[in-house]
Amino acid sequence: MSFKKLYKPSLALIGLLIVCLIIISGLYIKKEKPENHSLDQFNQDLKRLKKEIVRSQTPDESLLAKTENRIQNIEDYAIKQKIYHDLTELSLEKYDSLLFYKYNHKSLKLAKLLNDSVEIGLSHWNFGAFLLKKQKYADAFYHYQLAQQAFSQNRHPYYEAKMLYNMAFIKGRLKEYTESEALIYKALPYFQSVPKAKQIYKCYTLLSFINEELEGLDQAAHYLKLALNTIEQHQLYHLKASVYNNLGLIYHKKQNYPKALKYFNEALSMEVVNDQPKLLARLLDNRAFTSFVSGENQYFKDFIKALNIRKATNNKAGIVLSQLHLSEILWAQKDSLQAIKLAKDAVATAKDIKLKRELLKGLILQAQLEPHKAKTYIEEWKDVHDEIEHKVRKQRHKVAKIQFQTQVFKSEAERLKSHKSFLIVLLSLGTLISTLIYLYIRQKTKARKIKLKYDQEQLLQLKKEEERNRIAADLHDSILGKLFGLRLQWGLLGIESNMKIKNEHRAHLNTLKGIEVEIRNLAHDLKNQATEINLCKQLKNIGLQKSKIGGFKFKLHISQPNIDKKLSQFAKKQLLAITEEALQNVIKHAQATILSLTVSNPENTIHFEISDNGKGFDKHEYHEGIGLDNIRKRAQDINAQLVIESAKEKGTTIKITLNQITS
Amino acid sequence: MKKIKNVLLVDDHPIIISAYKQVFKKVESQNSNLRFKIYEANSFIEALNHLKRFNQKRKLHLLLVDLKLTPAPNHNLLSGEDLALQVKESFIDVKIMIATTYHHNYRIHSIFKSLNPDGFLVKGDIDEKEIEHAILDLLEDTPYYSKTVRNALRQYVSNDLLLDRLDRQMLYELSQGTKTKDLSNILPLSSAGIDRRKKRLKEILDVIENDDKTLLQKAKDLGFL
Repeated sequence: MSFKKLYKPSLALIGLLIVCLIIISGLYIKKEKPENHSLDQFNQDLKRLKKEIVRSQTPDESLLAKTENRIQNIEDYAIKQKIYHDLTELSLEKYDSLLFYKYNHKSLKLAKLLNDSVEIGLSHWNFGAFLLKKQKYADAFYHYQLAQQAFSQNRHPYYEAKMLYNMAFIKGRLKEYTESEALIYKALPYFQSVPKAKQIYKCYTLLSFINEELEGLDQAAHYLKLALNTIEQHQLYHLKASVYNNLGLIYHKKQNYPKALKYFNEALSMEVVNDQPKLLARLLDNRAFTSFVSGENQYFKDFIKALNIRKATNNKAGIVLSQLHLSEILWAQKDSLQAIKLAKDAVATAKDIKLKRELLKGLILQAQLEPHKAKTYIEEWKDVHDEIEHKVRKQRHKVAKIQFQTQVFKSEAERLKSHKSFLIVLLSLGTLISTLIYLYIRQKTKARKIKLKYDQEQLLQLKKEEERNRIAADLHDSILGKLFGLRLQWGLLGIESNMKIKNEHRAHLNTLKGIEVEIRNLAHDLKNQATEINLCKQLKNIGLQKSKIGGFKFKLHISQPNIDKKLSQFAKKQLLAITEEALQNVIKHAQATILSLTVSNPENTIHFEISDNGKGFDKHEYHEGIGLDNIRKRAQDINAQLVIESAKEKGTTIKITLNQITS
Repeated sequence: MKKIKNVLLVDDHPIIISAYKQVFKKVESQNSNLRFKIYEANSFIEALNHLKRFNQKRKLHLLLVDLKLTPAPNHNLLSGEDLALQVKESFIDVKIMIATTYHHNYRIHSIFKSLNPDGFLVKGDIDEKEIEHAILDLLEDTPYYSKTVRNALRQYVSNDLLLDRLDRQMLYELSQGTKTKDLSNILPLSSAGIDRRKKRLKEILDVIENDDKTLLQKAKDLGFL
């Protein structure tokens, strides 16, 4: 019931194997060519080994050793693990415990090495399935639980739910019905959400079994009907007969014989039943027995028929059942001799194949058939019953212990984890604080350095200013005065000569006067630090500075080198301010990659253009901010025409046109 | 009969004094009825020494003084302006002639307010012929102002309504490189008052920028400086 049939399709397996082999061979071909030959050999060996496992033959030692040796030499753990996994599945299917243990242990070890939780889960699943087959319930439960944890860790909910079902199944077998039920209800919601019809059906069947054991027959019938519904919904008709059989048995138990018969009949009328001899025998047997109990006994021949089918298929458990039923009927028909013989056979077989439930039934029947030996039978019955109880209890305790230990381990792990996370938080907090302190100190030192530098610059500036003022004062007061005096004196020299020389004389004096004016202006400018603005240089500076911040490329094109002379100081200042404002806007809003600035000089006007390739804005939607407003005002101040062109995703262009100054 | 006119020349450059003297000699030679007695001084102290010789009977007729001289704080003399004021008080009929290299409108305006000189020459404007004219005009009670001074006066008349004396002084001081924080030591204003005035000036002159340079440039363009 709980065996994994999902991994069965041998075709898919072979396909996987081929892919796997291709990968391996691919790796080897790439690495070393001389190994090709031995690689082929290895693949052949592996194939042979698999074939032998599939045929349930015991592979010979040399083949095992050879393949094992080669697998050991594979460097890629994942491939190695995969090969072991495949071999495990094959040996599990063929129930070869020796090979199974060997391969699955290796598979599990590698999966753990690879930290592949799915593979770890699959390995435990294999162990669980194998042990369940051997009815080692506690050990199987242990492995299923580990598998379930591995799958839950890896968020593999389908496999996790399957593991939960298997655990529930084991619990059911150990008669811990409530726990079993709880586990089913953990698994069932996932199966329903996907939905996985067959698994749902299995869950309901298990629930029905549990309730039947607890004598909740109505509830058991209810679950079976739910299983039936699932079957109907998902058209799993081949399972229907089996459910009818179970329903029949439950109604039989409820002594509602007509209804039970109805279900058995229904099942038997299905064609699929003929392909399932085990089920067919069971149905025939059950129907006949129900009919007999109800007092009609119209299907007596079916007992024989079922027994024959079971004998033909060597279904020992089935034979026991048939024999027990037949014995009971023969006893009722007063054929005690035959009945005693059949009962004896049944008990012997049941003992042989460890069919405990039937063994107990057989012993009771024997006690009824042979009242004089009843005491012996009853005592034997008691022994068997005690043994069963003892075994179940032992297993149950073992499971409880496993569960308890897992729980303790889990809570300990959680405690450690929370402790760990607390430490991590503390540590990271500490790191954060020390980083902040470090950054703060660094920032402060940096600020201090900057301040120092600034102060020094200020001082230097002051010194420069003083020096400039001194030079200006010297120029103004001393040199200018002397020049003036000289000019006056020179003018007063009564030069008696012809007109030409007199005029030349006058011209020289005027030149001198011009020099005075020049010096005077120079002195004044020195004092006022009104050094001429170099527009080209300043624009370049602004552009480089802002493009670094804004992460765009700055292109400057000035068509005429002496543009400085064609603009007043005031105009240049405003243009620089506009550029700065515009570039600030680009940094803030435009997300541009290229910004170009062009200054040209067409027909006595200066044309100034700033354009970017950024995201632009819609003029109708845009509320003019302070930035654009400032640009507008500045343009007005220098009597310039301002045009701003922009559209969404088309960039922005600011065009300014103003008159050049007439010299 | 030749009239004798007493003239005091004050300038710290001997070469200029000597040039002035030659101009006076030239005027003398061209006007037979004029005779100048010339006193020369290279500093305030020398000038004060000369002034002691003059009184109501022995009159000083003409003072030609430079504005920029080494200050003599002991005698309350910081510039030629101060000397001229003292002379004007002492001698009623004296003619004051200023000759200076200063050419800023404000400075010219302020001298007119305080001194109202009869002659005002900006050295850069003039040559010996203009000095001759100036001397002759002054002696005939006609004021003489050189070109820069005339321009400054014209602009003063047209702009006087907007800016008061303190505004002009503030602008002037700023233009001379005085820092705003030092202005309250020079002007009879608190630093808050200076800020207020500056703000108002910027509004009047339509200056948006927050720096003084633009303000001064605008003031200069408009002739306040």
